[in-house]
Amino acid sequence: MSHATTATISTTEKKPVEHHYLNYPRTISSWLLTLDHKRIGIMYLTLGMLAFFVGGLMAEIIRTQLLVPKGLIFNGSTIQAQYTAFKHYNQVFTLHGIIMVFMVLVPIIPGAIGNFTLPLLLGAKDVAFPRLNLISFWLYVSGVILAIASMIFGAADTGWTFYTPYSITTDTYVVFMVSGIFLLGFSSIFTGLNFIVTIHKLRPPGMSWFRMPLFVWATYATSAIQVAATPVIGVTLLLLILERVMGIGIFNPALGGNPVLFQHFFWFYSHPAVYIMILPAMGIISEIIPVFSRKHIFGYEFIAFSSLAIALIGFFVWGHHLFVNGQSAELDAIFSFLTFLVAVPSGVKIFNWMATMYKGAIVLKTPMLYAISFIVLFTIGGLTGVVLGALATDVVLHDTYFVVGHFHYVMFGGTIIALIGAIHYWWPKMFGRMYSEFWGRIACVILFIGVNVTFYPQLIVGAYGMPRRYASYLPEYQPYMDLSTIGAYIQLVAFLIMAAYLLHSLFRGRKAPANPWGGATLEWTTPSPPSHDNFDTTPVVGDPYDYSNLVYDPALDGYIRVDREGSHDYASTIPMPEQQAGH
Amino acid sequence: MGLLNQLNMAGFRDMLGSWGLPDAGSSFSAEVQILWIFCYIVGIFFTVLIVGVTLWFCIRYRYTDKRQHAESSVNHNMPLEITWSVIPLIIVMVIFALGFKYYMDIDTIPAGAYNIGVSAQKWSWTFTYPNGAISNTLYLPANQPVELSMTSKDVLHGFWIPELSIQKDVVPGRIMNIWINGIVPGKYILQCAEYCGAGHSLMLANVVVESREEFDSDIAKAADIWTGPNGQLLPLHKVGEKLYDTLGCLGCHSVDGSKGTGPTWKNLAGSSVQMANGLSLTADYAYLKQAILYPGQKMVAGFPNVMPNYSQQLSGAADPDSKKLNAIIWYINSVSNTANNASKPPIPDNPTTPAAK
Repeated sequence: MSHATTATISTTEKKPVEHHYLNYPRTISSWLLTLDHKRIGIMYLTLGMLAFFVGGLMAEIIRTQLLVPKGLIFNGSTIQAQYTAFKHYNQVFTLHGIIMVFMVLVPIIPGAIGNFTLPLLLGAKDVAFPRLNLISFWLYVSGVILAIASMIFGAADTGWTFYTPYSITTDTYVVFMVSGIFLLGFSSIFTGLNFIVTIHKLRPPGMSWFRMPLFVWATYATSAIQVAATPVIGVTLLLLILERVMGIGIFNPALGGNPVLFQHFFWFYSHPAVYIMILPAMGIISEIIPVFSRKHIFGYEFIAFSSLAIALIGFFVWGHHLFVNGQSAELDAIFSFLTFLVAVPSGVKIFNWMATMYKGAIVLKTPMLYAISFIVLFTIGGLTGVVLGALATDVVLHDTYFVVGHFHYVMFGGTIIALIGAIHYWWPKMFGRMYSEFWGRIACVILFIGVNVTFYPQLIVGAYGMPRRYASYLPEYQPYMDLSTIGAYIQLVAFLIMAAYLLHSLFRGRKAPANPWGGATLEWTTPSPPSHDNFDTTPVVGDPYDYSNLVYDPALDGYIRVDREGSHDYASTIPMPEQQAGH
Repeated sequence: MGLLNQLNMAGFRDMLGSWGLPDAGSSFSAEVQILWIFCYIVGIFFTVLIVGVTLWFCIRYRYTDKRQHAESSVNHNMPLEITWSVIPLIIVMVIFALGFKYYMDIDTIPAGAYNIGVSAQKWSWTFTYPNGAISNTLYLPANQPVELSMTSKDVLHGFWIPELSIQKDVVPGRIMNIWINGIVPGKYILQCAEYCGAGHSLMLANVVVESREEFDSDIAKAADIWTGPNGQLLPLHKVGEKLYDTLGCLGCHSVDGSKGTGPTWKNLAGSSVQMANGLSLTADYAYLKQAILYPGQKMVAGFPNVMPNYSQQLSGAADPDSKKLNAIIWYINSVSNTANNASKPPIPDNPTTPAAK
């Protein structure tokens, strides 16, 4: 009904030019200083993809180095020459970790996908605090610049974990890097705060808590973690800077400090941060699967509450990173127990998604292929996590490639795959263009193969004993290391294909209809791309997962809503006046 | 391609034994493997279940012209959802309980264990035995509980022997205690598991699990640093060369002139050294001695203050007549063209009888 609506802000009346948020106004400053959540989202996405490209380049360098046991890129004939060369390798893997964790995994789903979709999903014009949103973006930019700038002087070689006392004594530019991450932390806090208020205050009439799309629930849980946990990493990094610059003696054992205290502080943030990375990804999957199964999500309340349960319990499991660090056996037992508790709600979500597909009408388009990839890869990531959560087996797997394989299955197979799925799912809405479905599917299949060829051998070689963060390794590990490298190259091919067809779509893609997939959430009721104000009229809120009134229209190559006699139309059953919660 | 020829196929085969873990080498390997295999089976079961059912749904319920809408079915089923929450919960609680039980065996050090000291530093391991022997090889008597008291001189390191199923971080400023009972004699490799800088992947040590007789003989040999392989007494600079290795000096100081974390020893003795405070001094005996025992007191320009303090190992009871210290300084002199009487130790380099114990 609302498709082909043009924005009314047009002043010239020569031709009916379609004005939307992307093309009006057109000046550069109108982008850089925009308060429009959609534009901020697109800028986050652009910068995040750039960071992902740099981090990915680092990953390819790491994998190429590990093709041969003595190191292919960084190596030396004498032991001193090896030390010099390996230090560069260490800087490369540190950059890979820092860029991917702090500049891609943590900020990108909330920053790019969350910013773009959250107000649309809520039927709102913008987030609650648009200016804070812009500040949040520019803090992100400043953090990225500061951290990347340290590459010019001498990038940190500490690993992304900055464990003391190594991070205090190394001669690389740790303070630079840490300051950048400090700023990124504030960006994250502001975004979280903004989203919490948005979700509380800007829901439209009729959208009760249990009629919110599940991505909104996931974002809500994520935001709560961002606001509560991120200050801890800020303080920790500040203390690290003080220790390095002034020698305050809190983490440095030479000054009476305790290096394990740093690990507690660090993981008190960084474990919940893992849920900052994965919860929104799960939210995305909860949106994609019902739409492409043409069926109502199964167990809405269980999925919503499992997000909250994960967010809450996730705060109390950080100690499972310290099982071999000399923490007492009692603490080890408590942390191990809580770790297993948090595993259950994650499993519940997987079963719910499967039950959603049961008896559906499953459309295997690109976003759905990514959602299925997510289920498979996240299952492997989760089950390998179970082995690491058990105390006795953690002793023989800690700090090995098994851990590397495990968290890449979760972080890449989970978060990044969901992010790519989300980009494809909301791409028509973001840019008003369709991408090549054929190449989209091809890239997804290649990427899925690449991820498994890269990370499964890492699980095997890790169980056999290869430690992580090694620039050189024992010869018997080579077959697995080589397979893993081949996988990394396969992934590169997938990403190049993806970049090609997405860029092609931006300029040459077919115009997208308002609702190409038949989604029932509110963003599909507005044109693609939306106008500056998102909605011309306050949208009517229905069940976000009821697809019974959406029918495919071949003329549009999209879905339209029809009011069929006898079908239960949620929107018409809402007693409007009573439901105006929050207003 | 040359790469393929380098693949170690024997190693490839070995990895497939014991469900992917290394073959058992210590008394708790078997327990770890039981839990590993249990988790493995649970993992395979759920992976096959989830992947299989998901793929089956994709085929069975795929969208077609005839099937444009989902069949009507419930959106919610409380008993079903509780079932699939509780069953995984029970399974993971079993895994937790087994993990904790076996972990207590690893964590509880039996009384009367044989004691070996482990010292970690960038980037070498040094093992100290009750008879005073210092070695870079970890000798372990088989079928005998051995307690390892581990310290680090600089940053975090990780003690990790895959075949012996034991890993523990070595935290500076603390003594970390673990125990091993090596039940399968053989040679293993200790790898540093906790990232420690440039030489992290080179911080390996040989581990030998052997019978008590072989063990006693090996550590007796290691204890005698004063004699050569044929039983002849060594000149002090040769003894110093051994200590250069076992005490880990070689990690930072080269003897061929290449730049390391610390200044090279080549042509150091007797030369003029530029200090960090802007002054320069001559590397004479007094300076070399101070630089080894209390390295932070006089800093050479261009090098970080990261060298551990060696006064524990090279003075007092550990080296009553300073003979080890002098042996190292003799070795430094032996690799220098500028060595002179002022840079040489006051005792002669000639082979002498060992110091009285």
